[in-house]
Amino acid sequence: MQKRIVIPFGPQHPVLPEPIHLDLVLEDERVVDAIPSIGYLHRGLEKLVDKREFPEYVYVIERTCGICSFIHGLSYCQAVEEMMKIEVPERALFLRTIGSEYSRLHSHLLTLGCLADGMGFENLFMGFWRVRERVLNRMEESLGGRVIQGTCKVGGVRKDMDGEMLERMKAELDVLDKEMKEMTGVLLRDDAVKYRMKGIGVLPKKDAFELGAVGPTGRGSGVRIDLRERGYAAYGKIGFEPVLETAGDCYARTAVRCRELLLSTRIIRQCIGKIPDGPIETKVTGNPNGEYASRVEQPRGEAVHYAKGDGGRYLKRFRIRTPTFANIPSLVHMLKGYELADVPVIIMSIDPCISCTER
Amino acid sequence: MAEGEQPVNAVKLKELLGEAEAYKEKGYRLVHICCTKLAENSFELTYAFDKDYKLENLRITAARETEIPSVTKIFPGAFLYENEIMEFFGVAIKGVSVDFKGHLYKKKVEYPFAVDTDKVDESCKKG
Repeated sequence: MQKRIVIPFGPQHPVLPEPIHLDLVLEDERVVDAIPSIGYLHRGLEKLVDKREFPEYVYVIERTCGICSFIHGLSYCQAVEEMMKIEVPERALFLRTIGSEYSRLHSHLLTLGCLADGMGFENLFMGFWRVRERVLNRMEESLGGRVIQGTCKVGGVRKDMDGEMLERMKAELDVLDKEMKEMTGVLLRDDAVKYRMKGIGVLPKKDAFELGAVGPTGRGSGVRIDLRERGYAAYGKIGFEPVLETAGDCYARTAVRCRELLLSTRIIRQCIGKIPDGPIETKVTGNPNGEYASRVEQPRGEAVHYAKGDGGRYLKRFRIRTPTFANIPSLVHMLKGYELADVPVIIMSIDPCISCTER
Repeated sequence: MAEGEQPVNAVKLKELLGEAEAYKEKGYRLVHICCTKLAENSFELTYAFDKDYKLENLRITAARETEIPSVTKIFPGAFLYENEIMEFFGVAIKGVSVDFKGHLYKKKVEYPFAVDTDKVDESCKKG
């Protein structure tokens, strides 16, 4: 047997936007095992559930992540609304769907930029983030914030979008589509990018399913899991097909994200066309009693928000299973057998969100 | 649109692996494992499975000293859930495929989710 060495990768590393730590076991330059440590910054947000009343706890949940904060808030509200049998107005459901898809655009553009930067493609990083800036500006205008929105509340949403704003959004979607097609075209057609990603970090469909891969990580291997198909919020009234690739490598996972950008703008367009008039919230009376596991499709995949109440103002238990948490076993599996130089690209290809994981 | 019913099937400890195996054979995937503290030395573990976007749960109730068998031989991705439960609640799970032996998370308090939040706050303030 060749001599083995262990190289700590992270928590601080130039390619990592967030502090994940992996101990890489190497034979020469080849990874033979990877041991993850994920407790570097764990915040115990779930524990705060017995310190905040259930209507206020949504503010805590939104702070789980600085990228998919909107969808965390939405999912928490869904869990409580289901326990309390609250009928959310239809307009609020469409507004939640629009907010979710803007979050997905913002997240995918961010990670595609970081991936390009990780491969030394700095101009493309700036290009993706320039487009993302448009998305953030629109989120600030329509939802009330670039990072933390505070829009979702138990029973509906706090902020409406008037007709003029929706028309402006619709007009800008064409510009976004054009710019995103240009950027993703450059990324996916570039020979250096193909060399770094094709056939690297391969996760076969069977392994992806068995290890519990979700989101673009699973869909890049052909696993059809997209919780939007379940029809929560207004997705049941929107026609769409999940994006699937079959190669299971870093390139396939990236291609899924690139194609999902255009899917998101299509969904937003449909929402703008179908959004009904009406109230945006329902008066909430009483307290949550029972339990419910709310599931949503975040940019990185399925997230589960489990809530349990006993009829009091404070929930008895709240747990978040984030998509990155579910994807770590797949990451460990896909690293094995590849070169040390491939590790940053493979990690970036699952778009790890450690802020979510260290909830 | 709500997900609808999420049936919970309470099982005995000795039935857990057989039931989990049955879910696997029927094509379900493991969504998550959630531990909830019920009383001072009583915990509830909920194993959630999904197929075609329908969620079903297996549930066991156990005391801290009860050894719960690991499901990692059936669902290999379960090792993170099981390590988290062992470290946060102090529940004993036997036979986890990758056992971090208490070092998955860096914690100031032993079993933080098994003690009152005020006690966790005090320990953190002391540093």
